[in-house]
Amino acid sequence: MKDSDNCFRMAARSARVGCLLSVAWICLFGCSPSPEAPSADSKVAAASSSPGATETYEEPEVGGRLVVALTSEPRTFNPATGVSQATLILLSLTHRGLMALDPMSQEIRPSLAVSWTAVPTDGEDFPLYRIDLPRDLKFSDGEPFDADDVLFTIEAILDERVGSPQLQTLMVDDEPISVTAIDSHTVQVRLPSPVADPGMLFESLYILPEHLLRDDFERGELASAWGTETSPSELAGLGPFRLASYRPGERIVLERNPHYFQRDDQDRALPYLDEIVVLLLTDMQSSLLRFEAGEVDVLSNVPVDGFQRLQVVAEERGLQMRDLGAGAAYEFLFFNLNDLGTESRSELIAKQSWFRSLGFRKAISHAVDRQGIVDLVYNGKATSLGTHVSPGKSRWFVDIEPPETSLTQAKEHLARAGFRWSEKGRLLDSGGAEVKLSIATNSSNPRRVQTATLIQEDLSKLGMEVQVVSLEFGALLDRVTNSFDYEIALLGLGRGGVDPSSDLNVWHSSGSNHLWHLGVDCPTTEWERRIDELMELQKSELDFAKRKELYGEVQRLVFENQPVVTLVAPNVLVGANKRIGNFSPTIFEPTILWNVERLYRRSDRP
Amino acid sequence: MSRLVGRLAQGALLLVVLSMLVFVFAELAPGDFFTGAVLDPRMSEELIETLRLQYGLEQPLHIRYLRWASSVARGEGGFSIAYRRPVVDLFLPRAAHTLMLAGASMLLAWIIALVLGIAGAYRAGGWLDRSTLIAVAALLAIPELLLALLGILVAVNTRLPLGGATSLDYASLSLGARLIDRIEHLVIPVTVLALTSLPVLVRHVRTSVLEALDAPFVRAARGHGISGRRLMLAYVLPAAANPLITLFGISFGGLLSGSLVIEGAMGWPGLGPLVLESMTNQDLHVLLAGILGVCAFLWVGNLIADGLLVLIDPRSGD
Amino acid sequence: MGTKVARKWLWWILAIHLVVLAAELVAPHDFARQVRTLSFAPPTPPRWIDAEGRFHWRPFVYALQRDPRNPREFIDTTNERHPIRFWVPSEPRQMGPMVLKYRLFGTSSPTGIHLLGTDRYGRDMFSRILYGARLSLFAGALAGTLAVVLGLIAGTLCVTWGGWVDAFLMRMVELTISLPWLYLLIGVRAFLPLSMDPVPVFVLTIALVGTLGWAVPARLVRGVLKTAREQDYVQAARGFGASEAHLLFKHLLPQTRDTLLTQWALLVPKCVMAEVTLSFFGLGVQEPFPSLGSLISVLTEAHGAMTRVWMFWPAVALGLAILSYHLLAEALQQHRDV
Repeated sequence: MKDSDNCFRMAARSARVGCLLSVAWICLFGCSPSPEAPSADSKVAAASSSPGATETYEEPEVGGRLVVALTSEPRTFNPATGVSQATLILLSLTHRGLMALDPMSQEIRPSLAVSWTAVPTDGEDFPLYRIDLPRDLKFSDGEPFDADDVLFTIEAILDERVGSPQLQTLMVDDEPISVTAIDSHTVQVRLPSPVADPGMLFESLYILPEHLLRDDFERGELASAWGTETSPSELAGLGPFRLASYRPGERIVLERNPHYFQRDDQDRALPYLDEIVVLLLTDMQSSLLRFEAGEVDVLSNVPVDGFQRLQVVAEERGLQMRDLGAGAAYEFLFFNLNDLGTESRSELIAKQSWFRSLGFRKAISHAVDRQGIVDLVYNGKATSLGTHVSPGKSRWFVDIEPPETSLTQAKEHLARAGFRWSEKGRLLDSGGAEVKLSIATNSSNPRRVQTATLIQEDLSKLGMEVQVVSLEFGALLDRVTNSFDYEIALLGLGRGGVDPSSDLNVWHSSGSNHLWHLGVDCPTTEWERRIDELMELQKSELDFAKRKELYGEVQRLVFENQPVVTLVAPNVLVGANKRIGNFSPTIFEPTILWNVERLYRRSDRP
Repeated sequence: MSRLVGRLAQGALLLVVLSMLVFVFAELAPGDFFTGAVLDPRMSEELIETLRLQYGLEQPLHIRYLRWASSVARGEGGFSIAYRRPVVDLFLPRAAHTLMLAGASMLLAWIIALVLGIAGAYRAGGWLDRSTLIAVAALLAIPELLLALLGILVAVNTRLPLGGATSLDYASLSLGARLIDRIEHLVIPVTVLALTSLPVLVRHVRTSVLEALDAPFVRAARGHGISGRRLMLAYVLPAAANPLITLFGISFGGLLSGSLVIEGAMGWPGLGPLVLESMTNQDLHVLLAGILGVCAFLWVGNLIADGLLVLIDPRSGD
Repeated sequence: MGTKVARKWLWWILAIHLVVLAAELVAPHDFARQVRTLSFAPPTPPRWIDAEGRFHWRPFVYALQRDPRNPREFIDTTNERHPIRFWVPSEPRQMGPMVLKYRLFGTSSPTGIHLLGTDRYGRDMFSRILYGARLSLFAGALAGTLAVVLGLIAGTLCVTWGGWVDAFLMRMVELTISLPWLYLLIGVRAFLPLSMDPVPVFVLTIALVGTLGWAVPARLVRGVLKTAREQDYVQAARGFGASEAHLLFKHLLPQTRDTLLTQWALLVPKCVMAEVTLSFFGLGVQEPFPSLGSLISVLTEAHGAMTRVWMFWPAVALGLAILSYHLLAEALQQHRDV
């Protein structure tokens, strides 16, 4: 799950050291986690926007401009290689894939594809699917689209030279899927083995125009094609907008794609808007001020403090602020359970014996005041979590209450695990050593440092001596994933996707994001083995109810064994100028722009 | 002439040593460009390995250095991993904006500093001097970023543009209107940036002028009834110039680096966000280009300062 | 003017430093004590006039309670006065070698006295500013001094030796200013223990900021000395056979005094802010320990903090400290033969 920290919001903190400490030092930036927590004081707001609410599209006005802000610059216009958040948001406006996540039902639905049907295989092991493509569809440069573009896209993504982040998605059990054209507007997909929700493979897999990119691909240069210097006339996509101009560091202007395939209920051409101006603003505070002043029309991932201030002035400034409730991302504590070998880290190894004690982990989970974190760090705009699936992922959410905040229960767990207290109230382990711990987190995310500060005090009530260690993000990740030199860490995950399979790398013991215990060949405990097994099973379970049950059991096992202590899911907070119609944001990226083709601008304020 | 050649050689050596040191420093810092990608669910371990190999990050330090050096020799200035493009392509469209902003604010800051510093020193302890000092203390206690945000707040209330370098309809404006548009966009960032560099300049100007006013020959001149502007221009300023010239040289280095933070907050399309991002990302070549640029400017500034010092007092040049 | 002014400012600065040195005694609360029900509570100023308009000789405070109309805000509970008492007993705590059992002042108010309000966690801002200022002001002043002294030495070497020493040191200045020390620091951090105590952190901060700050003073000193050396009376003294060392200490170095004092007073706030940078990379003080810089930087990280005016107090405190350092520098400069 994507921790947005590696992306680049130059956040708030900055200090000028000037001539003193070198140029490089002039500032500190942090990146706030992108889903900076959102808000709801307003039950009203939450209700009006809750997923599943029936959408009633008003009578839209056609034309006009929408101004949005991005917190970092796109790094490429190439859908095959884009990874940064800003790049993906931009690509979501200019490209379309065969399938897409419907954020309301949280299911994968056909987007470009006219239909997606399973083909009976007569007992063969390879599931087959047929995708019907629309006819008379054109890229934004007017060239026709057909099955060859789909084949080309798949071929390109599967090519190692391209280094596409989506390569992995198109691999099933380490084997590539194969796609063949039946005719110019029908393709057939063959999977190496059954996949629970095969449409997922094609979600946000943007179709590349073969006529523009084939040559680059043949030369092996597709990876560097369509860089940000590319002239708009050499780009084309199937999305509702196309690039008109780009002023580096300042703004990107997108114009309506006249060839866009979707039409509204009244058979009017979409999108309604003529133009989208994307302002490149690296500082969230200044985006907030500009949004408040009406210069920016929509703002997603609004920080909590800013959200509250905007709510106060919303009426006066003509803004509509929405708290969408818990997002998919979650914040959690984890213990260093890695196998450290017998290196000279005896102190850390001694502490690991505490971390391996279930009683100790449960005690910490009971001692943490999650409501305090919600109230003080997120000003109430977050949701306490008992497990890693937040209520925002409604399709997979299993109601597991967070452990009750109770020092008594925490102390009972500790006592049962062999800990005791000195006369001064210090916690001692069974060997009589004082329990001293540190919680490491990344300083670029002020919310995390604040959370750690609260937990530090919570744990001191148990007689533990805890220090907060805030580190630069890269340095923290290096400790967590490489040197294993940390005790407890606080991070966030969960922005990967809705499907449980996107969680494999976190919960499967061999996963690359199984942060608390990396590089496991074979799990040692029964419950870890069971989680591995369940994660494998759900991968190919075609029946949704059964699959949900399997994944629910994973969540219960996580809750019972607390390998990580899940804390809160920040709410997703967004806002729009009241002039913007059909504003119907969701907690999934791109929060506000997912229905961009239907957004419109009212000529006067309602 | 040969001394100038000597200085040039020193400058070249300086940049080479600096670039080597930056490589060594970056090597010491844990992680590389792809460290952060570990938590990105879209990036598999295999892909990260492939990319690391592709960009030569697995190679030993000296090879990486030589690859960078050859890229510089080819005129590409290095290669940005984040943008998959030569650094020159990234810097060229942005550098002019940064220089424009920093140059204008440097000019403004020096003008204000000279006026306030001289006036303050002339009536040391007077109301202007005291209020300048209070303002200086306040500016030093306020973080740069906060100042930028306050600047935007001012803009909100004055109809000045809130950020960026041009208006949205810039392309459709006439030539004259474009010029006005550009100037309007400069007002707030230039003021904010000038304010951040003001304290150092004002205080040094004041000190130097005060010291010069105290010098025997200035007192003699005053005794002879020379006063006002003539006294300042003919006697005091030349005597006070020394530390100011040194500072002027150093502030040259700030032409590229001084506005890093402010640019991000103001939406100014300069090098700031790019260089800051490269620092967090460890997109080394971009950062290196920024650092070498700063150092080169600084070196030129110091060269000019040394030249000026000799100019006012030819004997001091050894 | 002159010495009298200098002395006045010296006393004032001494007083500030004594107050922050005795933070354990003066602060009414522990700097790390969180009262979560009092998040972002406004200041409770000492009052003499109660809600009914009666005057009381002994200052008092009102306890805070949530505003029933707007649960995010606080209002005074005016039905009971809580007089401010001096020398109140408290839990024993260590101050240097002594064990303190008293605080300078306090009240019986259930929500305590918060002269400058509270922060996000309900920690007393006044107490945090005192503790933070202690760390920051001492670290800043010492680091500034270290930088100036190093700069003075380097600048003097440049001028007395000239030639390649001069060229070498000046290129070092340019290197020092341009190098990304940040990477080195992150690298260094990886070799330090995971959590560090405040005392080594304090020393480390001073050492780092001080040693990296020498570049600008060095160039200033060099420039001033180069010109000073050629002044007529210096040349004359040289002609009379004065030794170079005598010239240097008697005639040349004194001329750098004013510039260096100014530079020093400018360096102190920079050092305070530099400490924030260090904290960011895990090298400075960490929560829950306060520093003036980290208290100030809260302002830039949360849109909401800007609307709570009492969060600006740390900046005001730093501003006042800077002001007094500058006044001291001025006073020391002016105290010459005028």
